[in-house]
Amino acid sequence: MESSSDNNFKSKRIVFVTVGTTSFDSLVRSVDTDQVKEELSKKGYTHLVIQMGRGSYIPKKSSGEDGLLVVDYFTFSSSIADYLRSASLVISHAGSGSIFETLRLGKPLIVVVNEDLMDNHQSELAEELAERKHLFCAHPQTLYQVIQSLELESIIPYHPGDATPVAKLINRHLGFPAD
Amino acid sequence: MGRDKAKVKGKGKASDSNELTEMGVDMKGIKDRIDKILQIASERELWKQKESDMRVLAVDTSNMTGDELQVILAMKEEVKKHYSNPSLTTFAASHTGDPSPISAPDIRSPAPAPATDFSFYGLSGVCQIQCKPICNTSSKHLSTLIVLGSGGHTAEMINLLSVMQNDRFAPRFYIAAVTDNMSLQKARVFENTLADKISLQVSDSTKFMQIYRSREVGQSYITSIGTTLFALCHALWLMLKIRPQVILCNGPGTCIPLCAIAFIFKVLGIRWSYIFYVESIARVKRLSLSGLLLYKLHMADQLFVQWPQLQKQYPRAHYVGRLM
Repeated sequence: MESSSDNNFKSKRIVFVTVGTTSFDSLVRSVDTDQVKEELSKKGYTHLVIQMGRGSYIPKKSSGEDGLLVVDYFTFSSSIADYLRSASLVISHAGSGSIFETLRLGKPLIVVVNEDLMDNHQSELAEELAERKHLFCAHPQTLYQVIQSLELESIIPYHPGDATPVAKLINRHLGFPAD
Repeated sequence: MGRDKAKVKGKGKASDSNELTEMGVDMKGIKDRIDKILQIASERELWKQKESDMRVLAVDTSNMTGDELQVILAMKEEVKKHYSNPSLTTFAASHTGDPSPISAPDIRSPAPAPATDFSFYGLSGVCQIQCKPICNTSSKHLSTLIVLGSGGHTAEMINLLSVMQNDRFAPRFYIAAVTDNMSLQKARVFENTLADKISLQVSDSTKFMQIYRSREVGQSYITSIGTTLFALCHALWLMLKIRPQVILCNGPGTCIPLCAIAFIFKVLGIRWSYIFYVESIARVKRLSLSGLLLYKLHMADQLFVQWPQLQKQYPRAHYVGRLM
């Protein structure tokens, strides 16, 4: 028993779910379904950590006795970066902050677009980056299918952008000499 | 509560700001008064500039080595060159004692203070400069207003600032919405790392300010009329106080009142501010409302987009690649 829990600890593979500063109940609800949890388990993930923000839907906690996922949740944390770093897979809302923080850490990422938002320009970014194969894009209803057909090998690593062209243009416009 | 605070804050130069509220009733009178305020401010600026120049000359270099010494020597050289310019001798002479009022022509003289070059051009001047926006700024630094959005917007702005020559864009003024408590903190951290790099204290001239927003999420439309007017007045007050030469912004709406006022100042010939707007990386297919306003009304000197699709749609925009 003890050795098995030791093994568990060594091969800990965490799925981290983050909804950002607002609420995104439909994502949390979708992650919390048996279907999704089973699929994650089948893919070899052992832990599910949910940052649920201001959401009102409370997921079921589980300590993973029956060989299923260990599930835990919290509302907010100042150390989201640590959770991201410890994760093997990140499922995130479509905010640009979360997206680029995860990509920069080189973690596999599934972005779930919130369809309840009024002016939904957020999906633009997620879809564009999905087209470039930096991440996977899903909706709360399609999350299960996306996880099922997850191919981490197809991901193209994201190379951080560079702000120097902007600085150069501004300098030139202002008549500063080029360096 | 916050409103009272701002009023009290404004009381320092209450007569000026009260007079400004008559805007639209008597534009000519107001313009004269604004000119007068700006003149006083530029005199102060000239004096501050001189003071900091003198401080540079007084720096003791005997204990310095390497890069630091090089930098200081270069600065001294710059200052000496600056004051050996014959057209400036009157300026230097008149400023050996207390800051005394100087006449308007002095302020217009070509090189002394970076802040004053375009201040007193009329509308004709605006058009004239618009034809050839590139001025000789090689030896200058420009006061820069940086409008911080929130979350992702602020992160992008900090990324941009980290590659800009911060000696050229100084002093720097950071503005964030009153409700946004993270952005200014991030800006402070950024300024601290800058200061660490050149082993100096964060310059006193770097300022962090907050601005009232015209409408909070979920606020009713009736009360938002009042808050919008109030936010505009606050923006006007801040712009008069800062009078930036360069405005850097990347949305969201917080920057609109400031840019609009800067644009009006430009048209009236009160102040020439260059406005640079960087559209957020989250905008792939369409410009944001702020971006669209600045683009359509030609308010931004340059508007940058981070995706090639956007540039095709808005040909006057500059495609610069991703900032994140």
